[in-house]
Amino acid sequence: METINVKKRKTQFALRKLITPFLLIIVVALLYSIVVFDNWLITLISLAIGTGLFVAYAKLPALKTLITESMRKDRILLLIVGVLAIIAVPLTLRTQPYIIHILIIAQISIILALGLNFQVGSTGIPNLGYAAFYGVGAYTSALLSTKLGVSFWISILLAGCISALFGWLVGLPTLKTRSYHMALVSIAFGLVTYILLNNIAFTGGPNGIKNVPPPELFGKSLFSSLRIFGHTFPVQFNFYYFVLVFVLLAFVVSRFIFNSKVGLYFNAVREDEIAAKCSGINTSTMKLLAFSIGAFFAGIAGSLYAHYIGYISPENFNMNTSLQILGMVIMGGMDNIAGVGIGAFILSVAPEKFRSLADFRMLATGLIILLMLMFRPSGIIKQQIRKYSSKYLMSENSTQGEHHG
Amino acid sequence: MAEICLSANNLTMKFGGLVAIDNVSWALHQNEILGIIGPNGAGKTTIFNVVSGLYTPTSGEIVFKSNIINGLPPYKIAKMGIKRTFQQSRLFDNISVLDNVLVGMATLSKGTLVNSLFRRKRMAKELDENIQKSLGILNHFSPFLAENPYRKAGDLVPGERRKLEICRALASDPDVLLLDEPAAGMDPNESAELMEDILKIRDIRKGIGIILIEHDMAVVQKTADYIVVISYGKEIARGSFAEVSSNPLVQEAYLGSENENA
Ligand SMILES: Nc1ncnc2c1ncn2[C@@H]1O[C@H](COP(=O)(O)OP(=O)(O)O)[C@@H](O)[C@H]1O
Ligand SMILES: [Mg+2]
Repeated sequence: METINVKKRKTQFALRKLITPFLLIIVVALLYSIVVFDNWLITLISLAIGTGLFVAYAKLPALKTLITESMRKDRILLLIVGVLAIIAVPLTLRTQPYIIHILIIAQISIILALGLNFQVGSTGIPNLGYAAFYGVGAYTSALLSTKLGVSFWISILLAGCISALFGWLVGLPTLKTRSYHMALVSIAFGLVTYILLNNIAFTGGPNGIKNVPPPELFGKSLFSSLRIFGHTFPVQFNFYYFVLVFVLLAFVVSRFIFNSKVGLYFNAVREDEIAAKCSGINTSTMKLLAFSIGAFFAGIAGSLYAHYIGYISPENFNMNTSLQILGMVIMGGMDNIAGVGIGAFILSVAPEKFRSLADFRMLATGLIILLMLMFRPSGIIKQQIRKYSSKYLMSENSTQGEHHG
Repeated sequence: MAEICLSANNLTMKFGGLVAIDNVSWALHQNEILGIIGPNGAGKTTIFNVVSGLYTPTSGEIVFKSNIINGLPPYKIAKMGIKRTFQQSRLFDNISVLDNVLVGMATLSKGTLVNSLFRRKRMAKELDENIQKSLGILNHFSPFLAENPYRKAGDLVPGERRKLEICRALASDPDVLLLDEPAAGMDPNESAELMEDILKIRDIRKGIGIILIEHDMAVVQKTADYIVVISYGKEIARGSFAEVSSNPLVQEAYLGSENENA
């Protein structure tokens, strides 16, 4: 009797150990077929399978606890595999620079979405004109380096700062407004920026700015192809790793702010502005801070975009762009950093893969957002309760652990 | 007599033609619980909105520790040491019980972003102390809350919500606490229990002055040291519970409002 039980438990244990690797294989296979295969049907089918699996995960509590538990146990393995995958992916794509290009755009989108998340997700400020900050950053950087010959590193820093200043300024008139009005104000500044960029001769009008020089690293242009072991790597290869560093920084800074008091006070403003004020929070400062930090991220992303593509025009920073970034935040999960990253990845890769559908591709993207809002309005990953590692909460944590085990 | 910590002198608040507070004066002493009672619509909540800085009074002044504070923004008034609760509880619903109380400590921290960037050790220590203190306050009002610090505030039952709101207000060790109908919607037992807890606030925060708003006179009977009764924005009586409850004007005001309600 007992031996049978032990055996059963042992096989169960072994099975449980296989869950994480199994999951990893599924996720990698799906990602690979979504991102790398150049066939929109395969992309669509993989997306559908992924969604199906995700729905199963969300709807079946038993599956959910099983997966989250094994993921928590194997988180180091997951981390290592994840990091290795992110580093190794471009190596497998040596002959497909276009795919690496899509991944770079996804990286820039992640920085953008993380920035917008401070406003929309953490602080609850509706912003339908976020592309204006992105544009200000891109134009600042492009103008500085083409007209004044300023180096990339100074340009990108100034792009972030000027965009942040711009964010602070457009934040001012929104302080007195609320929800719908605020959304309208944000549409207005988005449009005004777009129209200005289109009409000022200094910024090149609708023609934009051409020949933005690529960044230089250790005195070498990022546009010079690498040759390793006799293989030539496309320039996208360089940019992938270059932008990756910025993405990682963006994640680190976002996490840090989320876990700091500022992140908590952002949430208080979002949840109830009057109660936040009466608790002693200067809600105006908090909102302006959310505006500026978000705009800073957008400025950095804009600069990266300008120096990567080498050409920018007002069309890159129109209402459409604003809505797309907003879609990433909503789909990923408001105020959840990992979720926002995933949302940005999916919504930037999907339209590229649907390019062969021509005009229908925006429809496909819209459909994804719509379905998401209908069936999972909280986003891919829900907002999480902040956990603290205080010794006074230790007993709490241990009892919770026991419940799970 | 203890020192006066907060007083209103000839306070008037008009909304267009409506006079919500009409030339009302009162003084709150240290260690005192002042009851402000009156029928619905008498202007009680408006008094709190003016004191906490949400409205600027039309005339008159509010004096806190011998500074006139009318017209100051709410966050500054909170920083000075006046905290409040709301009649319709206003919790931060999508964050945890503990986080709600930690936000209540916002006035204690000096500098936010700069400190959290460059003084991480000290911040971590401060956070640890704040958590310990939060749990202590929560435990005073509701062991349930202290045992469930990670519960979403939005998932709490109404009684717990009110208690959490009081904890949030008390978290920064205010000198004045304004409670707007804290017992509303509670049954007589719960309400009596809450009044006990309110009386005990003075044990954890020595010298605190508390203003308790109620429309139900019975609730404040045992709690309030002194009572001001207002009706249609005007003061109609003041004194101990025995004095005001036997006042014919007060009885009339309450009877009138009950007839209206019926
Ligand atoms: N912001 C406001 N604008 C206009 N009228 C108000 C406002 N706030 C309160 N009032 C009016 O002031 C009067 C007193 O309201 P209130 O202070 O909420 O009464 P109580 O709290 O005693 O029930 C009511 O007639 C109410 O309609
Ligand atoms: Mg009221």
